[in-house]
Parts: sequence; structure tokens; C-alpha cells
Amino acid sequence: MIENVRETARKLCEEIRKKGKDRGLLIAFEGPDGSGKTTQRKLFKDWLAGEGYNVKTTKWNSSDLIKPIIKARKNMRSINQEEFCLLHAADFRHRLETEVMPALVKGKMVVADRFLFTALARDAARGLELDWLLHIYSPLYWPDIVFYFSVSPETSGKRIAATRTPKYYEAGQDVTNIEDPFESYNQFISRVIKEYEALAIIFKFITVDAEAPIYDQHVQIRKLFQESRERPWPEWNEEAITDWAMMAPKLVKQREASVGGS
Amino acid sequence: MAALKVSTSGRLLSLDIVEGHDAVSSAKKLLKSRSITGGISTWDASSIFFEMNNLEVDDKPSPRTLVLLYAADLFFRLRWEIVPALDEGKCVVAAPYIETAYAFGAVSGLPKQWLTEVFRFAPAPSESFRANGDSSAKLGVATTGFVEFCSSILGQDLRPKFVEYFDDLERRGACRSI
Repeated sequence: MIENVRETARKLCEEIRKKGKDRGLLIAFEGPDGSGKTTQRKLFKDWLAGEGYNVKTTKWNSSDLIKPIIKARKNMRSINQEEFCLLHAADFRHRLETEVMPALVKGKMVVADRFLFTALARDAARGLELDWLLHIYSPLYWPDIVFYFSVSPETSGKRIAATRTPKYYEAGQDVTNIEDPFESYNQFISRVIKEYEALAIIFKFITVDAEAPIYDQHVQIRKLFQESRERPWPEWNEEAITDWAMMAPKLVKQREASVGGS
Repeated sequence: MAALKVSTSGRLLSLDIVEGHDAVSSAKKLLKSRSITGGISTWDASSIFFEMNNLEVDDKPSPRTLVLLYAADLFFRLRWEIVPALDEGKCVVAAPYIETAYAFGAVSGLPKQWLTEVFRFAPAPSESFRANGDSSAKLGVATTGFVEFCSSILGQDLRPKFVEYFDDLERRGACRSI
């Protein structure tokens, strides 16, 4: 049975490689709250669609299966760092298997409003070890492009304060123990940004100056996307494809049936 | 991440079970056989699985997702039930504990190394036990226990495979039957 799965995975990888520059890409938009990445993600998605690409969007903590469970616990403030991490990892895995991978193997462009690095930055800022986090999230499917929207903690804090009071976990009050959500947010977001900046170096993010005018950022993103379009497929993603073939065989079969029928 | 620190005065007994409805009775039997009083911690104390079972969704969770959810629930049990009792010097029966996740991992093809890493936080039990269920009994509903839940998700009765895994564990001296 395992041999069959490996064979299926090998075929999927071969198909992706054959598509070359016409394959679907996974493009992640990362950055702290208030960095404007959602605005840019929407502009970019619309532009991609206008260019004729078939686009799928996936958002952080949005699976129909696990989001309600996380939401209820956040409202009750009943989860600690590790439970927060494990539940978000489950949500991520479910979306990866049911939304992201099926779209990519169909050749769609997948635009992720936050991806793996959100978990790494936030959970590391909550004091969890990066080594454990990388295991929790493995096998990893690496994005083709990561746009990192860089802002200072002060800008992030000001932008958030202008629109809303940060929620308990968003403000990191579970780890700072600071009663004032704004004060807690400022302290917590500094830690998150520090982690993001370390990740940006390790994983070679493309940094966008998120304090620049909105349209300038959008133009820069288009240009960077076109320059990155011909990147080779990261071969280490084969492990994640094999895992997907094993963990979600029904979805893989559905996909094979749709290809066979088309 | 290191395992959660626990007081050495308490005793953690792991009891991995195949029939979810056996959890409490088997745990009581174990405590009685050793003439000790203690607490019992059972699956889904956090009610993650109960809540998930009521959701109508298009795609079911994969084995890897189920293990992550099991880990979240186990962390909750450790934080609220197991560790506080151990710190008070009490005996706690965790029914089920990590071998159930390892068994499910083995059944569904998850790498042992990944499972070991995920459960790095779980302190090693003082002693490990398994309870032999009645395999001729009808499979319980999904919310009866983790084995039943996974069986329901994967669409097959996984109990014989869990029994096989625990038999092997017992043969290797890693646990005892009660």
C-alpha cells in the first residue's frame, strides 16, 4: 500500500515538474498585524485574476473544521501557548491538505494570507522552541514566494489602535500578563517582529517596505512576482506531496478522477 | 521542548484502552488492584472531539490532523488534571495516554519520529498498562473514545489494529495487561 502511495506521489511531483513555469505557485503574504498585508493580498489576487490566472486564496485560522473550536476557546481565554500552537497547527494541516495541495496540483495560484511563518513567529514569541514548532508543522510545504511586510512595532501598534482594541491573544496578554491590551500588544508585537526578522533571513523572504504608499507596494509586488515566476519547483516539497497522498487519499483520487475525466 | 515537570511524589499510570467505554471502569480496576486511591483522566476532557463531531464539514480530518488534536487535548488534560494531581502527591491514571496516539500513528502510517516529537511535552508514566476490550462488542459511537472517533472518521473499525499494536507492546515488556 505504501508503495502505491509513493508511486502516486511520484507521479504528482513529475506532473508538477513537467508544467515548469506554468505550474501553480504558492505565494505567502506574511507580516505582523497592521502591516497592510491583507490589503496587498487582495490587490495582488485581483491583479492575478485579471492576468488570467486561476487563483485560490487561503486565510490563517479559517478551516471550517477547527476554526470554531479555536474561536470558542479564544473567547473563553482557556488555551495556553502549547494548546494554541497545536490547535493552529491542526487548522493549518487541514487547510493544507484540503485546500492548498488540491489547488496547487490542479495548477492554480494559491495566495496565502499568512502561512507557516505566522505560527513560527507568534509561537516563538510565546516562548516555544523553533525546533519543536518545525516538527509540529512537518512535513513542510514551502511557498515559492514569501512576501514579508515589514513595519516597526510602533507603526503596527498605531495602525491597530486606530481601528480596534486588540483581542486577548492578539495582544499576547496570555504571555505578557499585562492588563492593558494596547500596552500588551506593543510589547508582544515587538517580540513577534523580532522573530519574523530572524525568519526573513533564514528563509529568504522578499521584504516589502509596508510603510511605503499602498500603490507603490503593489507595483513592487507585481514586479517581484514576475521576476520570481520562473523559479524551479522546490524539490524538498516531494516529502509533503507524499504525505498528502498518504493522509488524504480520497482527495488525491478525486483529483485523479477529475484529470482522467477532463 | 522538554517534558512537563512533575512532582516525583505523585505517580502517573498510563492505561491505553481499545474500548472507550472501558476507560473509567478499567482505571478503577487498576487503582483497586493496587489498593490505592487516585484520580482518573480520560480522553477529550477539553471537548475538542465532541464539538468537532457536531460540525457538518465537507472534508474529514486526516490522521495527522487527528493526532495534533489528540495532542492538544492531552496537553489540556496534563495542565488541568494530571500535573496538578501529581504535584499534590496523588496517583493519576491517564486513560488513554500517549501509546494510543502512537498506535494510531502506526495504524495510519505516520512516522514514529514525528509522533515522538509532537508528544515531547508528555512526562513518562511511572508504569504502563493496557486493557483488553471485548472485540466482539459493537463499535461505540464516535464520541465514546479516540479509537471509536478515528474509526468513524476513517470508515473502518480500527479496534483489531489497536489490539495488535498493544499486544506487541506487551510482548516487548513495554506495558502490562490489567
